[in-house]
Amino acid sequence: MTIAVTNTHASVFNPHVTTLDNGLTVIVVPSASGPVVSHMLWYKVGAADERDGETGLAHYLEHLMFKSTKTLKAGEFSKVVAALGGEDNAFTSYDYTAYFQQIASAELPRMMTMEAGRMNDLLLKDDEVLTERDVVLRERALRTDDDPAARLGETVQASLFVHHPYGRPVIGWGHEVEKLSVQQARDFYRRWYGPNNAVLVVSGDVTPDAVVALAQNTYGKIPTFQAPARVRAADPVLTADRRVVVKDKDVQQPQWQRHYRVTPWRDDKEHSYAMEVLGEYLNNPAGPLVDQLVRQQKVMVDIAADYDGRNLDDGTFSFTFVPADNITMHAAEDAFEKLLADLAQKGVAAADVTAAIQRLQRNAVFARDSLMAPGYAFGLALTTGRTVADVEQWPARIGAVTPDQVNAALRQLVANPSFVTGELLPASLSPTVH
Amino acid sequence: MNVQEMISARGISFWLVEKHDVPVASIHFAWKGGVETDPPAQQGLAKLATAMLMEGAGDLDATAFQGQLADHGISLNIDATRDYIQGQLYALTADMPKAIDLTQLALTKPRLEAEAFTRTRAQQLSSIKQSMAEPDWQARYRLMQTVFGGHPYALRGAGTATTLATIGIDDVKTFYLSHIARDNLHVVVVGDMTADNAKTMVDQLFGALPDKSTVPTVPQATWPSRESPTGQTIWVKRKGAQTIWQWALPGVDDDDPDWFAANVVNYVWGGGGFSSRLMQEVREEQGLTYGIGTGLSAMEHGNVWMGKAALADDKVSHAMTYVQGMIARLHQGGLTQDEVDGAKTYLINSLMLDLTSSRGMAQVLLDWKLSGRAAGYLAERTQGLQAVTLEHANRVAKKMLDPAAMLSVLVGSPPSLPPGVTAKEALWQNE
Repeated sequence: MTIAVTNTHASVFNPHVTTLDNGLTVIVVPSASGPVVSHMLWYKVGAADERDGETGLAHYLEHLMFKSTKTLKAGEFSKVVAALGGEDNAFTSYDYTAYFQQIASAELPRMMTMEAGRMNDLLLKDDEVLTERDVVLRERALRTDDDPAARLGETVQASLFVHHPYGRPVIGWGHEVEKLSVQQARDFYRRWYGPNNAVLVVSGDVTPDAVVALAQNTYGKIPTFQAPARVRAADPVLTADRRVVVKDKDVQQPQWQRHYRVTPWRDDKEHSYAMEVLGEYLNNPAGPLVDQLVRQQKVMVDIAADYDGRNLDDGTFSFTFVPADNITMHAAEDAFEKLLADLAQKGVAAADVTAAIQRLQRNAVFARDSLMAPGYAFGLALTTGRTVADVEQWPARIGAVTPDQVNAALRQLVANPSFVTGELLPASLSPTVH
Repeated sequence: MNVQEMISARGISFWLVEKHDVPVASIHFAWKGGVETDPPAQQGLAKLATAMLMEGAGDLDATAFQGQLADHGISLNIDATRDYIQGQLYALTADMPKAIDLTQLALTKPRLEAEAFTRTRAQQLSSIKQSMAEPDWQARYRLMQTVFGGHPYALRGAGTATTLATIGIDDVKTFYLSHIARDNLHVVVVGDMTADNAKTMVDQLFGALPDKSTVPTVPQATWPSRESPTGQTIWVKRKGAQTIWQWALPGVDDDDPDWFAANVVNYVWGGGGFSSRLMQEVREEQGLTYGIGTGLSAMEHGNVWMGKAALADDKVSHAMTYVQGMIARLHQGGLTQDEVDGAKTYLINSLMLDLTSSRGMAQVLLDWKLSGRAAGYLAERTQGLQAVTLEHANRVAKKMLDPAAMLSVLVGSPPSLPPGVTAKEALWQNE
């Protein structure tokens, strides 16, 4: 496939989309990536779909999907993939759980047979399930318990989402993970895993007809089930200041962060696209935050901004900075707040908005220089309430954002009371007092 | 993958793979001589010098320079690794002329302003402080100190507060003059570009560099030696949620006749992810860890075979004993034919997955070029791996997997160590 020109309003991946009779969505993106294929299966279930008291269950089940099925022994799935020269893994977030293999395209039928197998045939044997729970607890120790910055992130998240399940850690709270049972894993698997609650994305050296025929012969044989609705509690507007502090003996470099909870894409799409442009404008290394706070005022060593709207429910807008050596956290925070307020008042120039839009739109071309990019883009979109068209039209939607929308988004952000401030401090430092 | 060996009009040789499916291109380049050439009193120089290449050039100050890169969607990274200064340039084909302009400007006319220098040095110091909070960093630091002793490989790439303070702008200028030249340059171009185009761009990028480098020579590191014996256990005491265990065994050179067989043994033991013996037995069957694995590190001037795991404190003694037993089993009994066949298939076929993007392909090729491989190494590598027999792999396992040769570093609070093991205490590194 040769696409010679960059047309910002062209579609991105030009996928072939089919829905099987049992409800499985199948998306195929042929590409010239060598004789290899990326096979990704996404389930519309994640940590935010767990019931109270069973945090970590979605991620735990992701681990257990590599255990015994009716046709495979524990660990055999990955061994087969590796023995054929492929790579496989899986990941869990709030809104989705995904499994993938990258492998020689000739092995795609085998991958589909095995992945379809564990959609329905997982055995969840007692001994395997309990040993793996220890592995998950080790994972939690490695990723969170032993990392002060990760502990701060976990606490900020829990303080920002006070009622909605996004406040939980995806890996689960340790005291609940250590009690997760075989029965809970079985129930969760039966409740959420099935063809009509999943999205298959295959990209690489393939033809759509062949992939659909293979999918029909494998996934197509699994019966439809009654997938639950994803009902989640909504968060209130935060009405009290929230500042969380992690002090740790190992920490030498203080760090600061502020996370805002923002309107979901679903509820205001134009606002979300404007936030994406705003995030790009603010996070640019030549943008006002770095230029003013790091290079001119020298109150920070570094600062970053990030908009994350790729959720089913609320999004987040976050800032993180490292204060300069001789500057107090308090002074750096004041400088940050003043700059953001000034920017909101003065407004972002039209030329800066255009430049940010063009930077973002280039990513749609770069994405095609990657075997797995279609899998990530469509999987993420379709498990968070979006459609194929939302992915394909993304460059045009971003292109339609106006300076007025970006400035409205910035003013709204500055006035947003639903935020949490986090500080990571050496054991000897006191938190910021205002 | 058709790798073309090219020579530009100005005599710069490079490798090119034309790939016209997506309108993007990657140019990856490197100069030999990285962190290893830092004077011990100026550790961190190579990283600071490369960071300064992003801080403005010609008429463009740092903000203008980085703004132009961003506005043209140009990704430019230049960093010092242990043996090399490495650069990656990635952009849409349509933006490549601009990308070339900015990169060559950075390489030939960096501004090196005092303000940017002070700020960049402070950023490097901040990142050192962040690294030092990580038990994994602490373990790696002790391991490298012990294995490489007085050799430059024991140097700290990012430096320390003390060494960074001794570095001035003149040192950075001297570094560029000695390191960034044409005689130690290696270049790979992959993407939507014709041969003629690529030649012109390579000349525009590097044609104005000096002919000759004067990179200090680095001696060969030998380990184990009298100064840095193996078989020890070093323990950094720390109260945390777990213990980090890192270990080292003597490695093997990538030109050694045993190289491919050693890769097969490494894959079966701990390099093969979920299918390795370590992951299968220590994680899958016993649930002792989330991750445990090994890797062969073949560097320009020395080799080491390293492994690591994170363990619950009270499982450290058991896990260490178990892994030692596994090494003894491999040493004595070797591998199985199935394991060797599986490792060979994986190592041969999985390489394709690294070649699916222009950036991935450019990096694989640059790594080969730097380690002295020919442009047709793909076929040579496949043949070399195919030729590994069970007998050869077992001979290598016998030679290299010596339980007595293992050097261990622990960072944590294990209540006990395996019987017979006495640990030398070391301090948590604070600066």
